[in-house]
Amino acid sequence: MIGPDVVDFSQDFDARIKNAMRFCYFTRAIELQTKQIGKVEKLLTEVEILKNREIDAANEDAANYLLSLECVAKATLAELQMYIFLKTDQMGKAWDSLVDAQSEAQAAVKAHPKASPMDGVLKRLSLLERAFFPKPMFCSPSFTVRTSKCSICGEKYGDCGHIKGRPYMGKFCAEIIEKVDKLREVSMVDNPANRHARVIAYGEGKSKFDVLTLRRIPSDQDLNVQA
Amino acid sequence: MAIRRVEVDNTIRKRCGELGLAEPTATAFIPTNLEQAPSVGDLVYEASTKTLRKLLRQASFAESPVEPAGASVSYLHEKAADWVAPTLFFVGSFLQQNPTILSIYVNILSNYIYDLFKGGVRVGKVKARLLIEDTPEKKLQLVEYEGDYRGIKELAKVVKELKK
Repeated sequence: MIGPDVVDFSQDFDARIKNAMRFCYFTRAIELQTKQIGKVEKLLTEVEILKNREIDAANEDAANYLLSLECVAKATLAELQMYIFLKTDQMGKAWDSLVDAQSEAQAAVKAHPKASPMDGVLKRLSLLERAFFPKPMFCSPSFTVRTSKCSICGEKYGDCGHIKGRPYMGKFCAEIIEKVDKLREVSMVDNPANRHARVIAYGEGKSKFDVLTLRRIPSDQDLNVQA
Repeated sequence: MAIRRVEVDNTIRKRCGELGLAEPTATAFIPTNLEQAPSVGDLVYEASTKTLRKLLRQASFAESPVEPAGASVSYLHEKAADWVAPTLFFVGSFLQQNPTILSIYVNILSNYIYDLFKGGVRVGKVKARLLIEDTPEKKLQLVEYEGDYRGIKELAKVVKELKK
């Protein structure tokens, strides 16, 4: 059950996120975006404290609701960070922040039925992806797993009742792989499970180039000469 | 979205016998390499098998692994965005006694997949296979689904057709 204090907090949360979202534009001043990151981090800490209190009280409904707020805050934080990285020419980190923002926004919807709809945020992030980044290629490994455990209870994943991807007492269940049998292949795909696993460079002659910036990546030999 | 329905040889009981596995009596997930595996320890299931087994257990749905309890088998994890359900084999005699079991399974599967892909922007394809037995002597009906997660409910229509 979501108590009145959590409801009050969520109203304050919405107002503060709405304010932070005003800075989620490329044109906003970098120092103001940096300041917002500090504010959202503070908000995130407040959510975590409240969530832990609900977990201690074994109030799963409220804990999962607060998990959804946590995901919204993390999505906002990651989007703000993306703009900072774009402006400071750290394109690989900007991509990672975009992927984090998308993942957290999707997770927010799964955490609780009363989670804020994130369709608008996800649509905007998708448009930003297409506007700011070239279409990436990804690496997708295929492997067989002998044993794995549940992140919620620590039992063998197949033995417990927790379902991966679902929220339990303020945390998402994940299957933790313990023993990989065989790596079967690594494929190049355009729609991977993990969008962080992108191809980061390509080769031309003896040189390597960053796929996002097209800058030549200094080789070990270049670095030795500089030293 | 594509739903394919074909007849295939019923080699499941024969392969289970050769590998010393239990013969399915109700429904059973079939390892991806049942035809080729040299021994029980070489069997490989789709990664989604453990999760689906939990969902079926929670719904009191009769599915029993073909391998002996405690046998060590592997699970195939493919890190593409596609989600692949393990092939579920429906034993003919069990189906005759429980005619709604196919629809129940499709419901469990589609509810889970909806939940899984909820909020997703760049979601992958869903692949699912059902192996449906009439009698042990006859060929099996293989029903394959491949497509968007929203279309998985269409499987229910094909399943209804099969029962006619």
